[in-house]
Amino acid sequence: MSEPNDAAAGVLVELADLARAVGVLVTPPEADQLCSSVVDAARRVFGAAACSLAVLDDTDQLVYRFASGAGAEAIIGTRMPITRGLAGWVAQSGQAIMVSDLGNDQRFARDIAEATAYIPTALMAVPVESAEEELVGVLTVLDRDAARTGADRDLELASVFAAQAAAALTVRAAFSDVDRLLLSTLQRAATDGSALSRALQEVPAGGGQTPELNTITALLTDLYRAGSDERRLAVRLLREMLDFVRAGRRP
Amino acid sequence: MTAGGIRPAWSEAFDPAPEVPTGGLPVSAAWAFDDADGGGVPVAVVDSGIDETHPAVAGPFRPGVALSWDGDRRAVTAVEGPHEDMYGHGTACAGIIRRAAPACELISVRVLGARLSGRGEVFAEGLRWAIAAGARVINLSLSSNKSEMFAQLHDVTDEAVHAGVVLVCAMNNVPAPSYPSQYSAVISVAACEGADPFRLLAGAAPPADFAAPGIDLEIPWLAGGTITATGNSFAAPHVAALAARLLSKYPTMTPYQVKAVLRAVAGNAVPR
Repeated sequence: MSEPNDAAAGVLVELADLARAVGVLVTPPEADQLCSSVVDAARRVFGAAACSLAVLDDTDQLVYRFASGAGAEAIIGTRMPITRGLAGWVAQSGQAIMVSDLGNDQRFARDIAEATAYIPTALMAVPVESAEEELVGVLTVLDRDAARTGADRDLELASVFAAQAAAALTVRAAFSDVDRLLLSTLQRAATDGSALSRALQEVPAGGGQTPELNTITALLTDLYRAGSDERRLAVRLLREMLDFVRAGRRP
Repeated sequence: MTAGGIRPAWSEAFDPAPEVPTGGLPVSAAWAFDDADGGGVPVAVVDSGIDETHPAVAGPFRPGVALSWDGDRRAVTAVEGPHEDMYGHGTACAGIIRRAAPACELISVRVLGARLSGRGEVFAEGLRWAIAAGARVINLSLSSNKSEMFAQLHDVTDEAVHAGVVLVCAMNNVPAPSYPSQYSAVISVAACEGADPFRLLAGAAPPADFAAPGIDLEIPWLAGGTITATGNSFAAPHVAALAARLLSKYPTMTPYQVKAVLRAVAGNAVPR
């Protein structure tokens, strides 16, 4: 016979699953559409054979979620560890890379060929970073038209597309982390030795892609408990801090 | 227009290359580099590792260290000895250094290749390890764009220069700040066209101190092969090699003297 805590923990896991599902359901479809639009627009502007956006997951793998052009359907869903390949290098180093002839980089060619049956000659890949300077993905452009007018500024242009992709991915990630946020909030709130708090200890801790959000939630929970005066003071401080940050934000 | 038709950020300042004054220093490229080969100068490549079996890398080599972040201990773990280059980037830098400094002692300091977390701390520790290991030149074709790393990397840069270590850093490939390439104590390098390992241009204004070949350049890569690539990453090792060559001839030079001499012997320097 299972313990009551196990049963409660099971309910909480189901609750988190439900929150995750709800998160997916309520994610604005525009977030995905914007990502698709960014890779399609980039492919067209660069006159490229293909363009893709790989998203970093919480196991440090790049998952190709959005693609346009040659091999697009095949590459979507492909996972690559960041410990290999040119996209992995971009993720690791945070630096763009531009290769005009992949030559005999068999490792890269094999990875792409296995996934898409398309073997490029040239590649440009740029990091996609959130406003908090965290890597969230890699934007890759294959076989761009290097003879176009203005092609020597393509790296700058790719960075603009990457910034757009970052904004869309950040919105997407906020909704997909709803389950972890719910659990970490409950874990922080229930510290009274109740059945709920014991059950919560059985559930894996929150974390994921929004650790700062979890921290803020935890701090707010503590402040809420401290008393009404402390709550009012905290709100005032937060407002002051927000004004300060907005005023001091770099262009 | 280049074959790949692309330029990394900061390289446009060298096309065309402006004239820069030598500051009256009575030195020439022949005085600086002739009859030298980098012999006896330890050069650390802080990067993704070095494949020492690559034909372009052959020569004096020290396996160095592989550093990674231990999330449980919240500390950097160091494993000294041979390690792999999983990307090709560090091997590319090492091979480029060999072109002008064939006899220097390359040291591999691997700071990339594991998880992303703790990357900045690993990077800083890699620099400290290289300084402690006795490197006279450190090639950094990497940088951090994280403002939270600014102070720590600034401190490590000072440690290097105070220890007499020449820190050669690639500029960011996109027009945004990156560290330590922005600091005045380092030698910062952007890319220019060409493939001559002795091609060196001096910058007329900060932040890029120099330019060296790094546009559509054939570089060593994985499995003994090559690729043709563009990036400030590939320009920096050219200057690291010239610094090593200079130090093999004049071992008592300080990092600031190395920088001043390189500027005075640059291809676009004019005597005034």
